[in-house]
Amino acid sequence: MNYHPGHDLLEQYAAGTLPMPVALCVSVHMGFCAQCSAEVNALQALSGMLLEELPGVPVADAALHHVFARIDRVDSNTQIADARITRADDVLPAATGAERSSTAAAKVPKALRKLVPGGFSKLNWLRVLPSLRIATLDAGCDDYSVMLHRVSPGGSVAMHDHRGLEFTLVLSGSFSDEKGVYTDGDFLLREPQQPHRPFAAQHEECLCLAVQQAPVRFTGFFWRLLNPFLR
Amino acid sequence: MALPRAFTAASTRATVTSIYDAKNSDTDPWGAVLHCVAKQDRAAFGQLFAHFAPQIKAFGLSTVLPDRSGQFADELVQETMITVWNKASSYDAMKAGASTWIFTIARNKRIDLLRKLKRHSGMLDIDDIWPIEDEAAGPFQNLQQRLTERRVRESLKTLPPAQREVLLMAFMEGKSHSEIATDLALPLGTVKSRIRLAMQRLQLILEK
Ligand SMILES: [Zn+2]
Repeated sequence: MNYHPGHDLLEQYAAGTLPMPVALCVSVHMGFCAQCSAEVNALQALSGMLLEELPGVPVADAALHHVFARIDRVDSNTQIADARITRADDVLPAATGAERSSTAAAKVPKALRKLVPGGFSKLNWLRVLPSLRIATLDAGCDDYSVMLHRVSPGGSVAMHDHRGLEFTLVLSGSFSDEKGVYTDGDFLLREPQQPHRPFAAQHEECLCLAVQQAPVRFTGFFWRLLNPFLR
Repeated sequence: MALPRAFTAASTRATVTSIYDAKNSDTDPWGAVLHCVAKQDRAAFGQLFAHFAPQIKAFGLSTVLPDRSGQFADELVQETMITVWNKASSYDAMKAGASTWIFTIARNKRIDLLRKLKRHSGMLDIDDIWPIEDEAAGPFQNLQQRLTERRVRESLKTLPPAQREVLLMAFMEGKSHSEIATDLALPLGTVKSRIRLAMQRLQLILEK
């Protein structure tokens, strides 16, 4: 793994100001990267110290009692909720052995588990090109589209361009474009007007998390994707 | 940091299992207080609340809000402190200082409340994307993190005021570099270089 989010992105991630879909990509990268995790941990420590140094603003006398009242109210319900969470975790289905692809075997990172509850192979994959399947995830954000791209071994994606920023995170397998070779955990940021043509590696399928800013409408997106000569 | 005698490091000596624990509770008395809170100690929680609630309120008040209803900061204090109470037993002094841990909770609650204000929904879980603790970190990373915390705490004392100012705006007010530039009437490049200088001084930039 050679491609990391820049310092600015890690800073905004630590400050909690990064749009959620972008933070999702950074978070998944951190699962692969001890270096970026350490940098974020250090930035969070700095933030904790800055927080401690803020000139405090007095809170109402009743505020502590309010907190205790809410704690007491919630206490009786907590045990039921906890039990429910444990049960939900238990039923997470494992990838089926029948499907022999790296996608089926790929572990779902914690940051993605709510969007991919049954494993990658259980998603609703749409074949948009002979070598490309796409699953759209509902991240509840209008400004970004969050998708998973699954490229067949040796497959290529038509030359494409995008209006906004495009974040790509390799979850498994590898792909290459004009600029380099990308493997598990690599984090890529493409600016608009940087058309590129990605190829998956010959020997295995490539699974990527793709987050795009200001996506065009679905039909438009597919239409552009299917039209290699369109910019 | 004024602490009552009961919450000094000595009260937790019994639970000290390694030299790193001992070092940590010497430099971070609030870690020891959190340890008591984990055992449902309401007096200890009162101490923690008295110390951190005014700062969390200040953190909430500094937030750039889409609308200016004054309840945001108070709600942030409530939500953060309730989570501190509920999660205290999962706080690990080996992984991070108490203020780091409390910051991550307050930050996540701020994201959550801002999302609710903007009526954003969606399946994504904030704590999944911004984990409160680094679960993947092993003993080596934990040791490194504690050394980093100590180094940052020391070098923060000598940081030039202009550099501290941009750090406060970025991390406490949650402003982007261009928003900071507008607020301070400085060129964007100056803001960026100030932040880089501060990071270098605190040795927070790791070469990749
Ligand atoms: Zn990295």
